[in-house]
Amino acid sequence: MPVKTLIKKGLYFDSVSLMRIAQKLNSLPGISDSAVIMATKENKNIISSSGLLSEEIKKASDNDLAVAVKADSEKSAVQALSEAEKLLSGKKENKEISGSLRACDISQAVSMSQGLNLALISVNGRYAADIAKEALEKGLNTMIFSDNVPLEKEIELKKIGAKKNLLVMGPDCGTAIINGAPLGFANKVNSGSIGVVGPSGTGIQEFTCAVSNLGAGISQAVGTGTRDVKDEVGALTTIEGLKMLSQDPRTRVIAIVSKPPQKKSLEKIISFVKKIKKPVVTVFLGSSQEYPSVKNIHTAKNLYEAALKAYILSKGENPHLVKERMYNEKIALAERIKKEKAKKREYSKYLRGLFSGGTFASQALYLLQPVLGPIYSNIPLSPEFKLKNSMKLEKNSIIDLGEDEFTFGRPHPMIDYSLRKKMIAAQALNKDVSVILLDIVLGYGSNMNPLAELSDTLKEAFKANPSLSIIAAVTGTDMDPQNKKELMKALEDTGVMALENNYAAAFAAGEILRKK
Amino acid sequence: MLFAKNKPAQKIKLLSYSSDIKNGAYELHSKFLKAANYKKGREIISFVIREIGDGPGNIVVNSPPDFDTIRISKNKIYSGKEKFELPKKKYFPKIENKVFLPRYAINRLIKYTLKSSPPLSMSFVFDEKREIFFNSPFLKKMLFRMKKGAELLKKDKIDSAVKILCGLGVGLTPSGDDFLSGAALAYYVLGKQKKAKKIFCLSHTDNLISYNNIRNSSQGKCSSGVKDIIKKISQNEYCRKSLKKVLNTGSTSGADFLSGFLFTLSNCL
Repeated sequence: MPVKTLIKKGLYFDSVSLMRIAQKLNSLPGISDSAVIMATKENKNIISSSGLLSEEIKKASDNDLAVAVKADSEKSAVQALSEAEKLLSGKKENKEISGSLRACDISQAVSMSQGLNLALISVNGRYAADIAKEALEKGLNTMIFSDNVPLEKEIELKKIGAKKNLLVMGPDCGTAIINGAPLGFANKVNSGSIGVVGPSGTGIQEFTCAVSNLGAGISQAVGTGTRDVKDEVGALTTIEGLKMLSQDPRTRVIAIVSKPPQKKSLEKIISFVKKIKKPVVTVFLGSSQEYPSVKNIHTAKNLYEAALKAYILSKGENPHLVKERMYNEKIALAERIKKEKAKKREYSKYLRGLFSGGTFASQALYLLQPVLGPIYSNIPLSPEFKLKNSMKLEKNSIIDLGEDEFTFGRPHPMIDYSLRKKMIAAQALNKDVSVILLDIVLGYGSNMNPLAELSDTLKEAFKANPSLSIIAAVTGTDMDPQNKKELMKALEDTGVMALENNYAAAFAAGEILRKK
Repeated sequence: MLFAKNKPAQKIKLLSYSSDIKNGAYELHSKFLKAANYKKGREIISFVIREIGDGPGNIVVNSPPDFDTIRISKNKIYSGKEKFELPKKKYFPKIENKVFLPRYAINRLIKYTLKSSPPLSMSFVFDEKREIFFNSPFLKKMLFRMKKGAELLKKDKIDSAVKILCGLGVGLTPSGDDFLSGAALAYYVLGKQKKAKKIFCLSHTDNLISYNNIRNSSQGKCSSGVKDIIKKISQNEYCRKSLKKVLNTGSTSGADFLSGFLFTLSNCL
C-alpha cells in the first residue's frame, strides 16, 4: 500500500483540530490509515509501527507537524495529502483575523464574512462605479483606487454615500489608513490621536509620516479622491470624513490636506469646520488664505508645517512654537547647504525636479518659484510656464512623473523607477544642471527596494557631473518595510543629500541655487 | 460605523502576572486566540486572556498581543516603541507540598473529569469504555502505547513510563507530556519531590511548552485553577468551576493534565 507524507515545519495546532483532520482523511475513499501529529520521537515510533513512516518524517523534529496517509493507490494518497494541505491552511486562515477568502462578487463577500464595513475597489475604471454602487447598497464604505471613473458617476456615488452616512473614498484615491490598516499606497505609522482627510494622496502620506516621525500618531487617514474639492462634487467626501473624524473619540486633532478647493467647496468645508469642536489644521497648498473668524482653524502653508501644528496641538501646546522649530531646523541645514554650494561651478545654475508624487511637485513649485523665479513644469503654476515637451526639461523645471502622460501603459513612478532613472542620467549630462530634486516615497505599494534600483544611476550621475547636487526627500517611517533611516543613510553614503521631507528638500534646493 | 470604537488591539491591558517571570528579551513562539507564547532560550512566558487566568509564566491580558519580540526589564514590558508597566497584581504559582487529599474527594473529581473530558484525551485510564474513540489503526497503536505508559507509572517504573509517554500524542503539547506534567504535580503535592524531579529530568522533549509545563509541575508550580482545586479538595469543598476551567485548557491538554494528576494521586493514596 502506498504511503505518502508531508511535513509542516513549526506549525502548531490544537489536538482536536488535528484529530478532526485525521478523521476527515480516514473517511476519504481509498484511505486505510492516517496520522496528523507532531513529529516527536515517541510519535515517530507509533507512526513507524503503523507502517506510515517515511524518510521525511524520520528527519522531522519535535516542533514539526507530520501528516502521513496510507492508501490503496498512489492517486488516493496524493489526493488525501492535498486535502490535508487544504484543511490545514483553512484552519490557519480561520485563526487569523485577516484570513484571505475569495468571493465572486460583493454580495458573496458580504455573506462570507460578518462585520465587513469597507470595500477596496481596484478594477478597470469602467467597472469601478457599478461595483462601488453595489457595495454602498450593501452598507459598505468604499475606497475606489481606480481612476478614469466619469465625474457624474463619482457625484452619484458620493450622494448615495452621504445619504447613508458612508464614506466614498475616491475614485482615484491612492491612500488611506483606517483603524490602523494602511490601504493602497500608505505607510506604517504610529497609532494616535490625529485624523486627516483630503484629496491629496502623497500629501496625506507625507503628513502621516511626519506626524509619526515626530512621535505622535494617526487615528484615521481618509483619502477623498483628487476631484472631491471641485465645485461639481462639492467636497462631499471631505465633509463626510470630517463628520466621522469629529465623532471619532480617538481623534483629538483633525487635519485637511488639499490643493486649494474650488470656491463653493471651500465655503462648504469652512462652514462645516466651524461646527467641529476639535482643532482643525488646514493646508491648502498654494493658498495663503487665513480664517481669523474661525477659532478652531489653524492654517499651514506646507505639509510639514501642518504636521508640526497637528503634533503640537495634540500635545495641548501652543501652535506658535512651530515657527521657532522650523527656523531651527533650517539653521541646522546651513552647513550642508554651504558644502554643496562650495562644489558649484559658474555654469551650474538650474534645478530639475523629478517627482513621483503630484503633491510634492506642486509643493516644490509653490516653495521654489518665489526663490528661483519662473519654473517650467507639466503642472505649472501659470500656463505660460507649461513645458512644451515634458521629456525635454528647460531652465528651472519640475515635473510630475505621475501625470497620465507618463503613466499610460506603465506602472506608477512610485513603483517603477525606470523612467526617472533615465531622466536622472540625462539631466546629469547637462552641465547647466546644478540640483536634481527627487522624492522617494516608501511604504506599502511603493517600490520595495529603492536603493538597489537607484544607486548605480546616482553614482553615474555624480561621475558625469561632479558639481551636481542630488537632493532626495524621503517620505516614510522606520517602521515601513523599506526602513527610512537605513535608506537615508545609504543615500547619504552615495553622496545624495537625503532629507526628512519635501519641505526641507525644497528649502535646501532653493538655498543652494539662490544667487548671492 | 467605519472607525473602530475601541483602541487598536496593540493597546493591551495587563491585568496580573506570575512572580516567576524573568527579565530578558523574548521572541514570539506561537499564537492562538486565547494565548501568545514567547520564548527566551528554553524559557516560555505566555500572554493569556482572563478566561485562562493566572499560571506559572503567565501574564493575564485583555487580549493576546501581536508583538514579534518583547523585552522585560525593571517591571516593564517593552515592544518597539510601546511600553507597559507590569500590573500590581502578582500571582505566586507555587503550592505547598504534603497537602492532605482525601480519597473520596479524588474519586469525585475523577467522575467529573470522565464526564467532561474530550473523547481523545487520556481519561480512558479511569474507564476502558473511552478507548472506543481511538478508532483508526494509527490511533489504536497510540492508545496501546499510552496504556502501557500509564501502567508503568502505576507500577512506579517512572523511567520506563516517561520514556514511553514523553512526546506521545497529538497537539501542540502531546497528551503524554500533559499527563506527565499532571503526574509530576501529584508527586509534589504528595511530598514525593524526588519522583516529581525525576519525571522532569527524564523527559526528553524539545517541545518548549511541554518542557516548561513539566518543569513547573515538578517544582510545585501550577495555574490558579489547579491551585484552587487542590485547596478545595483538601478542605472538602466543591470546585466545579475550577475543574471546568482546567478542563477547558487547550483542547485535550487540561483533561490530559488532570488525568495524570488524579491517576497518580489515586495510585499513591
